Amino acid sequence: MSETVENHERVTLTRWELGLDKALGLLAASVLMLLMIITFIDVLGRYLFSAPLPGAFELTEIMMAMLIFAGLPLVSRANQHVSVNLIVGILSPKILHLQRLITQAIMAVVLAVMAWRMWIKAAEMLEQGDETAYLLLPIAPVAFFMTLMMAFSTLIIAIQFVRIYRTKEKQ
Amino acid sequence: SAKTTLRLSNWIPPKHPIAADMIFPWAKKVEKASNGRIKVNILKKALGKPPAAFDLAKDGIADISWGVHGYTPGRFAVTQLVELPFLGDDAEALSVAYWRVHQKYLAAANEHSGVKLLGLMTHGPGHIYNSKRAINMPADLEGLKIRVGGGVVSDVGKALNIVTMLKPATKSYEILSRGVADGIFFPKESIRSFKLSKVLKYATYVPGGLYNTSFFLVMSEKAWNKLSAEDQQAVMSVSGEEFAKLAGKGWNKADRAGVAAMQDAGMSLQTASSAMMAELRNKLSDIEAKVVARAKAKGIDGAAVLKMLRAEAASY
Amino acid sequence: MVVMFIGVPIAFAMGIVGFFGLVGMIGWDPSLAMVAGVTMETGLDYGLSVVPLFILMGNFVTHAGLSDELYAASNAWLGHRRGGLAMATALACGGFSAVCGSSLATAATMTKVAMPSMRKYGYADSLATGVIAAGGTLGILIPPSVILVLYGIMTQQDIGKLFAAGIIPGIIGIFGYMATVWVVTTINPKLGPKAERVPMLERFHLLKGIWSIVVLFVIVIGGIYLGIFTPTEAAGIGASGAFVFALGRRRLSWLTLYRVLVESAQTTAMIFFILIGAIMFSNFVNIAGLPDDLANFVETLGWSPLAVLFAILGIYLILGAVLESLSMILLTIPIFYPIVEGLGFDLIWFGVIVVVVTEISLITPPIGLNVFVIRSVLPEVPTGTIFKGIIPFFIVDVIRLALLVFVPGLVLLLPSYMP
Ligand code: NA
Ligand code: NA
Repeated sequence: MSETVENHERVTLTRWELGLDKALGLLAASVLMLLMIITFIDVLGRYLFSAPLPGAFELTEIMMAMLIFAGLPLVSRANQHVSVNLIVGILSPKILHLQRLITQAIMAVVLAVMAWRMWIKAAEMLEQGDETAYLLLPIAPVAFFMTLMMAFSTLIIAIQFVRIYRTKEKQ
Repeated sequence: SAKTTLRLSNWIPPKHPIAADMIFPWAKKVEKASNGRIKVNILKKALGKPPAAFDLAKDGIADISWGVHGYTPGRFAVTQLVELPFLGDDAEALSVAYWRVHQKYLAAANEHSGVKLLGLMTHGPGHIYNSKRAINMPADLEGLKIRVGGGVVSDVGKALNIVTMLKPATKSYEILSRGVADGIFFPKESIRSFKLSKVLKYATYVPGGLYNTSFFLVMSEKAWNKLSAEDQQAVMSVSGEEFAKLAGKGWNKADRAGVAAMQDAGMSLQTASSAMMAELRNKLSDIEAKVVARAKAKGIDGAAVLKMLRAEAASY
Repeated sequence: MVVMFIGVPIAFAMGIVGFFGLVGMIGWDPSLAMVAGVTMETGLDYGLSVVPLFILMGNFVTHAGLSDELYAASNAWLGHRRGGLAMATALACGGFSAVCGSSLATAATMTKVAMPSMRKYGYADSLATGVIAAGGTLGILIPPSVILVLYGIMTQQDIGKLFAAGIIPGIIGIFGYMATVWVVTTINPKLGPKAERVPMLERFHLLKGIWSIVVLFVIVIGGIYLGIFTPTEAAGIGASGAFVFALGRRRLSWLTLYRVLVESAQTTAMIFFILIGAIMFSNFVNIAGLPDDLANFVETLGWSPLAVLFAILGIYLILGAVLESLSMILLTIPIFYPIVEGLGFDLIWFGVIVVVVTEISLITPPIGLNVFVIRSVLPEVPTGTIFKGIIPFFIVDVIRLALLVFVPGLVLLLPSYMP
């Protein structure tokens, strides 16, 4: 289900961007595969051996968070967020350029705010000692991971902003 | 004086006893006690999932919120004292006793910091239900998959050496009807309010309760501080011990309705024998020690709390 | 709305509107705290794990090439008739929808599979692409369906029942599209010439090729229907099953496996980001009491419930023209479902009605995502041609919508037998 209107940018990626893509891609891929396997084992264990996987419930929750937020920078990098390009098609190149700058700036600000608030939330969770109910795993690290991924996404969008800005200068 | 509207975030369906017989009537009482100066606006939908209930008030997103301490494991320790087995059969007596021990001992642990605590409650005693066989001894539970909530009941499950599954209460029907779980630990009330009498066959009541659950009713500090002294007094006149009474009565009434529903559905109902009780006490004794130790880490004398809690509940 | 139309991604637009609305109602600090709260609880939600698992299942199925056999079998039985290849396409779309939860994936896959043979036999591009665009929409109606899952989560309805409710309307959809092809090619036979007749023996032989799809559907949807699995578990089983099929057919190298997983993860991340924005928006709607205001407004109008429903469907058709399906549902459901429920309509039934309207939105201009998907596979076919080919299918969709509105039993029959 890739409900995306893709917007391919012909830009050369820097080495660290490619590296980040690969690392996050591997992480997201392994977590999703693991999520599938854990669900499978949990169900199979329950029906065949009357022994569901202990803690599968909370492992699933943690893996969901990792999956989504490892995927977020990738989505931001590939410019895959769904948008309505209704009026975009009829704009002059100059206004279109401006529109893209504004859009990128708005997205960067939103992501930055989210990262900032998530950081505060993560610190709170650390202090309160929030943990999972069965395996007693601390939740704060997951929240910090989410913060980090949103910070990465902010950075990626900011870099895109700069790139779009420069394409104008070149013209 | 000016009229204040307070937003209450509620996550349980309006017909559930917690809403219909506890939270909603309490809101009416607040409006009445303040002579209409305060209006409680119960939102159609909760502003967050059940585990977020406490933070909703702490962050000022909701003005008033209620929830379950056990839904955020690791955060509340001393409230687990009222979740222990064998505390009492009457939700009203236990809830009132809970409020009194909180005022005397538990408040010192400061676990509700960041919000104004309006009330505490426990539900009726928790019992054993399943769809497979009659439970006459703890050993009969072996091999059954039992759904439990978080908190002390998880420890109870571990101590009885059974396969527990931690799933939200609202998922109970789904997992029991689909055979994901064979049984459940619940108060009598929940069998009716989650419509489980059709999917469960056997009940074993544990006198005093196999476990209990601790609930809070809190207000955001910001909203509280905005109230005039007169309004604050009006709110507290129907909260605290008064709320414990109201809620406890609601739980007792709901428990009776739960038993009626189980009888109507033709479930096999029994009470644990003294032999079973002896074995349960034996197997669960470590949990009490564990919870008391957790309370001690927060500077609370758990043994004294339990002594007072049992005495107050018994004499109520 | 303005933020959205200047091209800000919908997730961000909804989040921004919701956020500033909330700031106006409850102030800065609580609104900022809610940003983190909503992100945290949406990220760590067990119930939502059904979403990536169904997406993964659909992507594995796509890569396993199960669609080839499906189309070959449908063709063998129908291809020799007038318009037969297009009818076979509609049927194969329906079959593929039974294992794939996304309309866009269904449309994209069927374009690759069905287009070459329709071209070979001289089908008009308009009919060929029209039937794929329309048939592809069944992906979100015939279970599994990512859209029905999200509807169920937003309205707290049983996902299993929603899935069951989609089956009969989906089958009506398949036959409706086949009938449309028949009518269109009867009027103008040149649009869809006959293909060669396939011998009976071979037809039955080809039927065997679709066993893996039947097995997946029976296990996943049958398992949910009979109450053996929860939807989340069924999704896990379905994804694992599709993985095994893809592996067994040697369609999975390490690289494809990696790509399938990453693509699924990205789609998941994108959906969740829209969901976070939608929940911010829905919290604003809730605190502002919009559903109440709207319900009061409806009451002052004094319309009959059915008239109100038609007004809502009209709004959906208009919104559906310009909005992408997922965002449309997440944006409107928080506002509309309390009203619809208040009017005494069944929310399972309404979920299916909303999905059928959404299906229509996928093929209506100017934003018809299925059309875009087909264009991305066949850049040489003009958008206008596809939209022209869609017109008869659009008409049939509207008739089907009316049928389901007036005969709710068609939707509610199957869920009524569930445990
Ligand atoms: Na489908
Ligand atoms: Na459209």
